[in-house]
Amino acid sequence: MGPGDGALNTPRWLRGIWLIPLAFLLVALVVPLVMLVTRTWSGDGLRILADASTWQITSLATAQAALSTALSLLIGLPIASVVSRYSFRGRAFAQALVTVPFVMPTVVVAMAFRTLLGSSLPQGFAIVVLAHAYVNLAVVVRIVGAQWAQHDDRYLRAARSLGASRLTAFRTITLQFLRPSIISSAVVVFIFSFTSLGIIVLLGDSSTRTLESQILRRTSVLLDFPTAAALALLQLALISAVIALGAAASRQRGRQKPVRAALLPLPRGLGSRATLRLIAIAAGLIVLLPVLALLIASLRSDSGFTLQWWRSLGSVDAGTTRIGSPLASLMQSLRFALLTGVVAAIIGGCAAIAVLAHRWGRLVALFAIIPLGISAATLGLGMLLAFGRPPFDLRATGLLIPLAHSLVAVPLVVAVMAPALRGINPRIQDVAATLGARPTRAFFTAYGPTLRTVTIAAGGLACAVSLGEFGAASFLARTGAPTVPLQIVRLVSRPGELSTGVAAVMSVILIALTLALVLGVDRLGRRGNGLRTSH
Amino acid sequence: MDFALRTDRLVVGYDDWESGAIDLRVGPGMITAILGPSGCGKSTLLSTIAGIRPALSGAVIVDGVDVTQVPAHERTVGMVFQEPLLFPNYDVARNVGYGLERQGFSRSQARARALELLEWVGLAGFGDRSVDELSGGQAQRVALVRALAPQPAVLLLDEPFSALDVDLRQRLAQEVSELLRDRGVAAVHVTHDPAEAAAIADDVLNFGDISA
Amino acid sequence: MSFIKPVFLSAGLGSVLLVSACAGATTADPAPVLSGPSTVRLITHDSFVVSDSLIADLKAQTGITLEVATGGDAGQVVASAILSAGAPSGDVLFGVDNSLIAKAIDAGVFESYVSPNLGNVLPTLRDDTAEDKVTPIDYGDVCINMDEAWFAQNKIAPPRRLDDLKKPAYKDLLVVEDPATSSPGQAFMLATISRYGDSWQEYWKALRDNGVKVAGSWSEAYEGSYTAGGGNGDRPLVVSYATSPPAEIVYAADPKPTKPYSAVMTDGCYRQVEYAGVLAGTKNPAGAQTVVNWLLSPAVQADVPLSMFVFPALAGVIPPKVFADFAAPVKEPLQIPSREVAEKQTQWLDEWGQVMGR
Repeated sequence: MGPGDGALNTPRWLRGIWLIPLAFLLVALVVPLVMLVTRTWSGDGLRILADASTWQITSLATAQAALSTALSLLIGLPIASVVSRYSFRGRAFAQALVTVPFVMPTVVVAMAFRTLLGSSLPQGFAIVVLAHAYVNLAVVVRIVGAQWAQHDDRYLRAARSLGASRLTAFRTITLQFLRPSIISSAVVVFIFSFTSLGIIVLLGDSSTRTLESQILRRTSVLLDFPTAAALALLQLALISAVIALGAAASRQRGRQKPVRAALLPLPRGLGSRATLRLIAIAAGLIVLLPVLALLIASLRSDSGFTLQWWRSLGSVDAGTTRIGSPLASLMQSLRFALLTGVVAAIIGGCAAIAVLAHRWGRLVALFAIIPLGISAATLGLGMLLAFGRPPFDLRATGLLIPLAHSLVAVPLVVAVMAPALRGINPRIQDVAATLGARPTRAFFTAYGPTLRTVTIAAGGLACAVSLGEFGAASFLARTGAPTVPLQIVRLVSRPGELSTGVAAVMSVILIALTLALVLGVDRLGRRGNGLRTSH
Repeated sequence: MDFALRTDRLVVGYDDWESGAIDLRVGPGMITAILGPSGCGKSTLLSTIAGIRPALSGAVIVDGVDVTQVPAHERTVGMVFQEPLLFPNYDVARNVGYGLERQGFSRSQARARALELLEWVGLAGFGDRSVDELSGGQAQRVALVRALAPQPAVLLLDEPFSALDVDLRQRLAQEVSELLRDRGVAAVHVTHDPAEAAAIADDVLNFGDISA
Repeated sequence: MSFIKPVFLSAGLGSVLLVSACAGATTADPAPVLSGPSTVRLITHDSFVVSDSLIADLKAQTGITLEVATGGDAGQVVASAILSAGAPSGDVLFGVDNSLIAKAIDAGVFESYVSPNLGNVLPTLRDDTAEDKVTPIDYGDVCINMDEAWFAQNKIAPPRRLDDLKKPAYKDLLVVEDPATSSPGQAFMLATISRYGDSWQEYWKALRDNGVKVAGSWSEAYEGSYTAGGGNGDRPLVVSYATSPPAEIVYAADPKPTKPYSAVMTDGCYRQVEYAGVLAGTKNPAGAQTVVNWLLSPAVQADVPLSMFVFPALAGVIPPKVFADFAAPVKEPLQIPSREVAEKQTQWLDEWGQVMGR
């Protein structure tokens, strides 16, 4: 039961809070989309829907995304079970590390895989699935981990004492408890893989085309906007269906009560300790190997190890319009990231709170996931149309990129925050009310501490998304320094060791920056409230 | 005579269930137990009296004042729930002092008063502890003094011992009964356990009878 | 110093710009603007580079402050420009190439303007159908690059003509980019269409049977699969640019090598020309025209090779030494008229995809 369901002590503002994310989505998503579609619409575009290749691509992309999701869960769940539940040295670092692949620009991921696997790097289905699983690991670990940390072990012990085997207990108790978060992370990974672009272009072949890659091809190679608009609408419809399915599947009756997130000490038994250690090492290897490969690439030239790439950071293209200073790019990226973090945390936070407070809120929160399925090209061009004419000409303000990034990050913020907030017993609000707390005070007594922790964590994730994004951003013409991912893309697009060397250096910097950001956010989030070790 | 709590033709309900008209009378300092099987609507009645659920019809009168339209936080009704529902981010004393802070006492005044109350229920020295560190019985005791701290006119007890083991349950029921009499607080105690009802209350009603 | 004054005649044929004097002078400078200091925003692709000192000179000479706004690759820039035609986000667009130009002009992206320097552009770059709207600024050739050391080591003679690539001697040696996702990839496809006409698909079938590898992007092909691309590639032939060898030297580790790793096969090269034009709806047409002329001025044209690794469009500009030494001059570049590309591009790409199974 939520506080909105007939409870009298819901603060009035809370009942209207869904209007904030709704307004944001209307302005940043619906208006640009409608402008783009109406502006470019022509019946000719619909012809693509009758094209057999469209449906072939759709079914192949569905299979690819399903496999990517399955593999992500297969690798992500064991990691989540260790990283989010047990207290051990380096836990925070491990958790931050898992986030790194998620924010690595696809170019960097491809570069890392290539550096790692050399020219033997195969193209096609398998490598695309692997890359998607690698990139989306963090989605599973973060979303499922947050809920796993609140699992009450007593239910498990009860099941075991009733004669359930370890596996049965896990299946019937743990998985049942985790179901909503597993489904919501699976929906996110599926959508990311289904609409993937960079990895498809860089590592894919004919078997891995996505609607998204077709949309980009129609917009920026063939300049065939009607077809692009038709494909974008098709993709949007499919994604909406997936979100609706996910929402229906995660509804459940009779929930186990979550407990306050607390870390367990490592188990005593030699066997289970070894298992945990094995998982931790395997996870470390999976995440770290590509990163290490990049680090080595940043320190190597044909003739051996060198610091030359690091030293030439300041001087590459100095004195030209190509902003040579990586510092300028870093500052630009950080500025966008911070703005995105704040905007996405506020909007996504309001949406997550709306889920608790209002029937409409739940719909709005579902609606807020849709930007995940909007193609970067559609978004970029739509924003250009919507905010490119007086009186709303934002093109010169530099706000379009953070706006686009925020839109892309909001779904993740909701995905992180909503389950955590739903895990709180709404009756705590009632207790506060019977003790004389006004509705607003009662709400914050119940939800405030979690809200603080989770908003910071989700905002950090939004920052990270912004740091790594360049799909939509690349469409939005801007003056000033390019973001770090754009800079990396430019560097790898020209020959010479210097280019790849400095690109590797910038990738390493981007990874370090992400690590620092996520670590800092985790630390901030743990302060005051948050995770403690229970004994 | 003025009752501490009176309900006039009060109808409560949720979803597709609603009770009959309930006329409840609780005198000052009296403890009334309401007996009934789990899930029959007793908790809904208490929540409605506390103001966290709307009354479908009828009136709730506390100390002679009709509070049916008064929001929960302005009613002088305290409530203890089946679970302690302590605020996890506050220590024990801050939990107990919460209601006093809402009445305008400073945090330190509230804390001082909370420590006295804790001592009174045998939890001296627990003020600085985290609520995670309490046993089930201790937590429920903290929840009880937390509800009593703002000095409500009526205290509603919604099966507060149901999660505890039998031994502890009886001991605590005894303790609570004494505490309430000691302070002269009127109370409505809801339970499915006739023995517990008998041990604690002056008056035992059957929910089935009053809500028919 | 020459003085060129733009004069508009509102004749029935539309606005035509006349050059009052000194047409044909190779030292033409940007026209001074009478309206005093102003800002001009140049919309361009992410690869645009020009020396800062030239932007400072522009300001000193004309009072114009140049703002450079980048918006993705050439295709993305043109797509954005088409959708905001009439309400542009800047004043000048640079970087639209000959495969996109027809669609951009048809969409009304550009205002009519003929640069007084147009007469000094290399005759081979001029395109009658686009001349009243856009001005050629630079060009580059997409050619097969060859790892010379590899061929020497393996005692195989490097290929010399497009036809050679079908031969068994070059089986499994070539990597190309997917024309659907990569600009040089598309240029190479167009080169084969230009060369082989209706039988171009046969050529690709032969390439396919000879083990050609298709990469998604230039960097995947060059850095990932090419033996001389710095990675661990296994293909000594790659579709790249005629200017890749000098770029190899400029962007090499210190100490710079004396000779590039790659040689260029000068047969079967496709010529890409990049244009600049005044965006329709600009608030500052005079400033925009000045910037187009500035792009075609000798100083900027001399800067273009080492900044962007392309050749200047202006006749008579002396290339830098590293270009003179290592950039391969292509005598007979292949080209397809822009309008034909616009009409048949989709069909060609589909056909290519069918042949190659992509």
